[in-house]
Amino acid sequence: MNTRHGFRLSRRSADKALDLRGGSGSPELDALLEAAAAPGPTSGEVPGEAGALAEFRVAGLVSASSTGRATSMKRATSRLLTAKALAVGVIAVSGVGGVALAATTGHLPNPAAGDHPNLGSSQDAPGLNANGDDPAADPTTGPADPSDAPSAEPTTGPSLAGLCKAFQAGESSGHAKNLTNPAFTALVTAAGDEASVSTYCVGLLGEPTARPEHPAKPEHPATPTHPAKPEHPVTPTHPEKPDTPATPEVPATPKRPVTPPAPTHPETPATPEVPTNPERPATPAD
Amino acid sequence: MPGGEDELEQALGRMLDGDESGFRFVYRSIQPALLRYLSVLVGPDDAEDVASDSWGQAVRDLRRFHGRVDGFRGWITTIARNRALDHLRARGRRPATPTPHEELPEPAPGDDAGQGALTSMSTHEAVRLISALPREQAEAVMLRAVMGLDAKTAGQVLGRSPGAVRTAAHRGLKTLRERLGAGASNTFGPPDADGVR
Repeated sequence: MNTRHGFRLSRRSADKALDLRGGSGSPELDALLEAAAAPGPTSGEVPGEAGALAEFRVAGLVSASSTGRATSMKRATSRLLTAKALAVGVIAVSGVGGVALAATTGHLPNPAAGDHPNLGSSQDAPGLNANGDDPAADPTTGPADPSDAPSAEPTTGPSLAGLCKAFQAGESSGHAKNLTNPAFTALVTAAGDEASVSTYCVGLLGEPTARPEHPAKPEHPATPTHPAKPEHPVTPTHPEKPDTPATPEVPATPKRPVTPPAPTHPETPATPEVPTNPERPATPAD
Repeated sequence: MPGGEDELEQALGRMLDGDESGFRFVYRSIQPALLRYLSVLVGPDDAEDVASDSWGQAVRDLRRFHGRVDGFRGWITTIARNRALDHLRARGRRPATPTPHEELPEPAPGDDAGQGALTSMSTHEAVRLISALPREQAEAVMLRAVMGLDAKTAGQVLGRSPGAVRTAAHRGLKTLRERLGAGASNTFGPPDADGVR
């Protein structure tokens, strides 16, 4: 095909040149195409390789056991929901109990606003506590500081901070498997690769301080690790550590519901927040 | 690289079976070209991010891929292109930002940092020259020459007919050649009526 500029380039020649077989009639053009298509470095990693490889590993794990995971995920979710429902129930009941108690003591422990203002503003917090996510954070502060709970912010969805918390909890309790959990994909991605997650999280949250030492234990200072006992409710014998603020003074049964969902799975809270779900929709965008 | 093609084919097979060394091989074979293609679309600064997203999506969806290396090249390129266009949309930028002629980098013969004796131009310069073409032509040239797609596959990636891809690539090459030759024999005349819009 002729051009007005004094050289020819047929479509066939162009095709040939584009296949890097020369033949454009212009050594310069052939050289340009060769240069553009030059192979990358023959050894060593190419950009982004570590991150991509990490994704590849995670994806392999997901696909290998996706069904199993799905169900365990569902289970974890329903467990959390149960926990939350129960916890909300506790608040309601303890509210009533509190009023009843107030009638006798003259002191009105208002679970919504009174002594623990934060409780009322975050109904999710007790659910979290029940799952042992946060109260463990700092048992030394004594009377459960519910303001701690919102920092675990379940309401914002799967946040990197939340994932980091879960990761650090697992890290300290020796659950090295953590990062292979697809729930952590977003975290690994954000950090660049698995090896960098720890550093990344320290950067995000700071050093995992008090937590690692008591990852599982202090669950509920008020109902400490004796899920069976608290049935003897009339024992507000732990006034020093009313971790579940409203409950301690409550007479009779209300305490029982709290117990079942007080699992010793520090990692559970993170799981139901599954970041994989929010991420999925973006995925099949091809 | 015909010899490498067999090896790549095997690596792809291993990768699809979940083998990491297979993945590495495939990644190393394709990523350099993919980065160049993406840098034509989104610019060199963002190309790595977009490529990273693209591979992430590809490996997550790997179960949906069935085919051989040619198919995989087309597949990953399609993913990457979609990601690139999303990226551009998110940034509210117009995709094509062709370099004005005045700013066209002069090809620098001999400025060849270890690219091999055959080439007289660095990869970087070559990609920049291609980037300066109208996007349609630049993409066609990149997909054909750099990603190594045939016209049909390139057409699938671009959502166009193979003939349209050939035409665009052809025009791109003509323009490139004009520009390359401009320094030497030809004056840098107005673009060919059917070469550049």
